[in-house]
Amino acid sequence: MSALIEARGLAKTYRLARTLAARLTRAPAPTVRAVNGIDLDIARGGTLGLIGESGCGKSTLGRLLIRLHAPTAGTIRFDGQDITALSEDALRPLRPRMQIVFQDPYASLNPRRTVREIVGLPLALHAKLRGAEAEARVLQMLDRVGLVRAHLDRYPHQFSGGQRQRIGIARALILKPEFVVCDEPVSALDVSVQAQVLGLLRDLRAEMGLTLLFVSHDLAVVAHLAHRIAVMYLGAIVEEGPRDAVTKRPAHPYTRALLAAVPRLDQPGAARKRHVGGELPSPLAPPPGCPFHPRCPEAGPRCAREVPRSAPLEAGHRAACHLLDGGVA
Amino acid sequence: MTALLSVRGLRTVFPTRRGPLAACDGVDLDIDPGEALGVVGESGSGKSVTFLSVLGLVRPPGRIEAGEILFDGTDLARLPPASLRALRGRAMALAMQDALSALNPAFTIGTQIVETILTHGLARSATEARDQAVALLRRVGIPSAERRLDDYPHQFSGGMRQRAMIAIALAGQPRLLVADEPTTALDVTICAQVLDLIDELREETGLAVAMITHDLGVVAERCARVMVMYAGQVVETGPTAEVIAAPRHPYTRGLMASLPSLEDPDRPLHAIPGQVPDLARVDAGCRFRNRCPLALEACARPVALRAVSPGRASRCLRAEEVA
Repeated sequence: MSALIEARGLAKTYRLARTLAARLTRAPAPTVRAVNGIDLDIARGGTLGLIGESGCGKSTLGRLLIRLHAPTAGTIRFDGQDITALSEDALRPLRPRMQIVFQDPYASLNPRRTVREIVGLPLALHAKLRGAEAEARVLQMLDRVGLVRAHLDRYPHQFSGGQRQRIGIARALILKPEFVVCDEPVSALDVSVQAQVLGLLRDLRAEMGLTLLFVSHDLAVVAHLAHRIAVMYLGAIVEEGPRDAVTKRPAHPYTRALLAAVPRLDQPGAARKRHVGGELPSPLAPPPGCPFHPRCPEAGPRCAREVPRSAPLEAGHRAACHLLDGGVA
Repeated sequence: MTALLSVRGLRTVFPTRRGPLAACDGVDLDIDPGEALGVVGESGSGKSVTFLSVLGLVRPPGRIEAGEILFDGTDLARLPPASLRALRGRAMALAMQDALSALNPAFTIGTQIVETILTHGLARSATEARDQAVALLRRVGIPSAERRLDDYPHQFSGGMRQRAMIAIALAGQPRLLVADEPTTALDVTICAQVLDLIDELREETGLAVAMITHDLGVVAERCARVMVMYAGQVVETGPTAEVIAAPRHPYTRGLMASLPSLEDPDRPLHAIPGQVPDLARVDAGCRFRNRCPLALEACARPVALRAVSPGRASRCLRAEEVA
């Protein structure tokens, strides 16, 4: 299978505002490495689940891949074409092919626009379609996401959270994109509604042959949709592989900690597990060596000195941990 | 054992433009000392309003219209506001979902804990209160507590703020802790740490806990008993393991069927069709019947919560058929 998305050495560094004292002393502005040297392929028709805790850079990575942000270093190829440095003008013909569904169905829809306008806008911008023809396409799309003609002239506030997310999905899919970034699309929804939206995404993916990057902090939700899973920690991918390899045979201690922390229905009153201690370090001052070593139960002296390289394990499964690459001593 | 908290027939009403809306309607519940009761339900199920009513924190024009709230034998629903205020914090405390907005950004964490301690008259001097505050922060696992006492909330991480809020809730040495989605804003590894802390406190001090959450997994791991709410009513209660293994209400079953499972990720999800009814327009019948695969004509008449086996109750005419 050929890769639709290929990222190599992808990095995004944000410069923060300097304090007055820093300006007076001419100190350099502090920087945050939100994404720090990521290699990633997404096969055409595949779904990559991207897991990580808040602030790990997973949303930034998603936005870089569709060039909503420009990377600081590295390259991104979309369908073989290098899009790393393309200008907005040069990107425009590619925009219909890559879209995004946002997390917050309350903030990502313009409250002053009707459903007709929200879902129809991409058609007007990219396909120059208006009027009756546009309306037919909008209706067709609404029908696909489970909304009806009566919804056309309503405003976002007249819908429930689940219905709003359907509107967001309709807007993203109306141009029949090939690649869609889903950034925590069900995190704001109640579980019974979440299941409706997950089912819809699954159906649409099969029907339209979509390639997805599915970003979430919920492992069970990701496992339900993804063919492959990548685990991010402080801007880096610490493990990546086929879904079952990552969830059943996790190789990185962080992946194991994440899996152990997921509350399970089938273990009522389970003896308290040993949880990973500590907290996410500040991305402003990442620890030296392996970013996970201050919290890692298996860390050794090497982990504080040396950044682990990504080591291949089995077919298409890799992890960046010294345990898998010569030991931690 | 007699229950620490015993609620009967609680009905809390908010006036709306479309008429009165009973956010919780006829709620019964009991919590024993040292027990953790899981309160599960989706947005609008009434789970938070039930406990805001218990704590006397329902703001006008909302009001408790009916029912009794017995805390250690005293009916809180009939207590004058001043007496209730004295009880709140001392007898029972609330840890909220969003620690960032629950803490006052203009005061240090220490000031906020010390204030609580002094308000309840639990220390003779400010110095003594400060010592207690340090001990509390240590108790909830905040490193270098002495120094962190003088930090402002924004200097704490999300997990630490949640711990600090639990420390404030514990400052009055309450006997009941209402934890309203205590971990929703937290990442999974941090969430597990906060739940561990609540478990320890319960086991060591006999603290009773009402764990309000939308996450059945959290309840399965942490609460011996569960109460499932839907559209303002309790639809099912029982020992958590039994309810999860064999739900006796179609809504509970529907909730579980819509949860993705890490063990069996390819299991199809069965979403509950339709939506929660508008609470200002509900009739006397079962509120789940418009979404229920088992609904009968008889479901349009009032359905009571009834015992279905020892320790278990369901608000469904066909409870025995739910599988």
